[in-house]
Amino acid sequence: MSDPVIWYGELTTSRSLLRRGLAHLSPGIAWTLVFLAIPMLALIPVGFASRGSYGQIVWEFTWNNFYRLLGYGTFGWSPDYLIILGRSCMVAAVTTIICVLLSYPLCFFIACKPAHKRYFWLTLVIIPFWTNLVIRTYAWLLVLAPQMPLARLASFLGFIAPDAPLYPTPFAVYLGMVSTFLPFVTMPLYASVEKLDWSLVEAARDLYSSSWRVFRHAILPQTTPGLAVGVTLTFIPAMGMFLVPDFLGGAKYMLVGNLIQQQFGTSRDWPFGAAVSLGLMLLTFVGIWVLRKTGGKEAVH
Amino acid sequence: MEYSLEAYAIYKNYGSVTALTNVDVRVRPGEFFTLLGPSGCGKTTLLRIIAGLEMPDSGTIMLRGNNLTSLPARERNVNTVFQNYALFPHLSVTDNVAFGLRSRKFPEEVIVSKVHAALDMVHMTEFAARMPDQLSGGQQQRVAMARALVNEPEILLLDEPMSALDAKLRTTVQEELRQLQQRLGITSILVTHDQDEALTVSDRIAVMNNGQFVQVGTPMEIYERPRNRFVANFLGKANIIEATRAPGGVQSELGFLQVNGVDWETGYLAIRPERVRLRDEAPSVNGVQSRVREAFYRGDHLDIWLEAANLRLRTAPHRAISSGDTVWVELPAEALVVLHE
Repeated sequence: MSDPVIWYGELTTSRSLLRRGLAHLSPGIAWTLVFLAIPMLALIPVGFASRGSYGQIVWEFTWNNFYRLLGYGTFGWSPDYLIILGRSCMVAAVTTIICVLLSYPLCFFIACKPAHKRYFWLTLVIIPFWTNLVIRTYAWLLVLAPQMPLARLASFLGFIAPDAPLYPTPFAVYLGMVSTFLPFVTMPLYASVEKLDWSLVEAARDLYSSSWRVFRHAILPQTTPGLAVGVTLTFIPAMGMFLVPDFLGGAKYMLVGNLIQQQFGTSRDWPFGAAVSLGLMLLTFVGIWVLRKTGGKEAVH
Repeated sequence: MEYSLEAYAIYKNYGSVTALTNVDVRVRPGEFFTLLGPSGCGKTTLLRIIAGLEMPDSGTIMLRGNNLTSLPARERNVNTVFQNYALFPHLSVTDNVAFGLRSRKFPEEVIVSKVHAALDMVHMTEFAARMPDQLSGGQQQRVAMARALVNEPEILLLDEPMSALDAKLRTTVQEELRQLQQRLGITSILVTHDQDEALTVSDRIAVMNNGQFVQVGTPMEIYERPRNRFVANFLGKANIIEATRAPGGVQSELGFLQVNGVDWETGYLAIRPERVRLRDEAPSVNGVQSRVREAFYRGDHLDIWLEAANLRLRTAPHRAISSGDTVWVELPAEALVVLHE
């Protein structure tokens, strides 16, 4: 039998609560099922089909798309796609790490402001959300253009040729990625930093801790919930990002997002696109799992 | 004489708010020194300045004769028991207690034996493997004590360590704290707003108000001989009598009172309710006759509120006195305290 529980002053049973909770959640569940789960499941059969000569899907079971992703092509083995996958992982990971490293000082800076001034600073963090990603990325093209101060400084220092733009470069990709994803780390992390119990920081200082030890034992465990949300919100979309690397990285700095977009778009090779998508999803799941295994433990305590 | 801690001319402001004004402290080795005062009097700020968690605007702090005014907390040989204990929630009792030793990179076998000894001292050995959230408030407080004491600090700082405990437990813990401090002979500075706690555990008490020391002395001095109305009212209850100097005593609304050491023309006297004596007939000096406004039976004593000058007195409960009765009381000359300010 279901145990009686008191929930918001009402005497009920846990089973009844579960039923009511599911009823309230059902629109959301239905939405996720219809618009997310079903299309994603549909990718699985497509990934095992093959491309017809006019770009149509031919329903013949084959592993070829996955072999191709692993590098086995008509002209022997080449690691091109694996490099793209690896590069995507690296760009996502580095973007996430830079966002975290920037967010910690930023969050503490904001949290240490008087309460009425914090909203001003938080608004500044959110302002990029008010503009469309395409427009923001075009803005970066402008900022990085040859005659702008940044490019002039870079050419003066000898990093690039005179009158050359700062794009397409990996630097420009990271600049665009970090500026896009910074608020996704800063906002959840700030929520954790704002309610930080400072007495633990003081206890650590009182007990002869170095700065690292203060961070490790007094700040990190308390901010892990916000950090985990921020890292997840950044790492997953960063893995699939195609717009920023397309604009700022050029053809030579292709990421898996661009590859997928290309397959479903210009190449009209839906089966291979589906296979790459499935590969990306698998990698993402592995990434999240590793994250849970390492960082997630802190959040549990 | 070498002092354990000396602080001279400490000033601290928070913007326009003054926390400490020209505070001088000297604490002797092995002494239990208490900073007592209402909230906002600057007592916690002073403790945090001694701990190094905050820097004074000006002034000097010396530990065993060494100036450490500008040293950060981690370089000071003092440890704090925090108000909410501030145990690290992700570390076990053992790891919490070992924290300071690990920061200072002691060899692991030394840490093990020291932690064991510290937990034994506070009777928490059997809880060594627990996490802080599996402990009661009293147990957490013991762990916080062990975590501070295991470092063998020059001074143990206690920031209202009992304010989160319930009243009954608090009395026990106060007595244990005093015993432990006496046994270890460790110099301790306690911050509290609880006068009973201050009286129970302290060798000396500094009563603070508005960022300054009002009076420093032994619990008995502070209680029996309060310097002014603030101290008299803050520690226990006191009858305050406004008076004018007269030959051999004072004139007040209770008539002539014999009292020694009056050194002002008009001022205040204080007398504790338990020092006011109930008399069967008119006493020879300092007698007052009055109707009883209210009488409250409190089990182990009787609180009587007189109509004359709103005088309150506390007496043994074996006399049947009720409101409306007329009684004689005596205000013994030696129990009348001449207040200043």
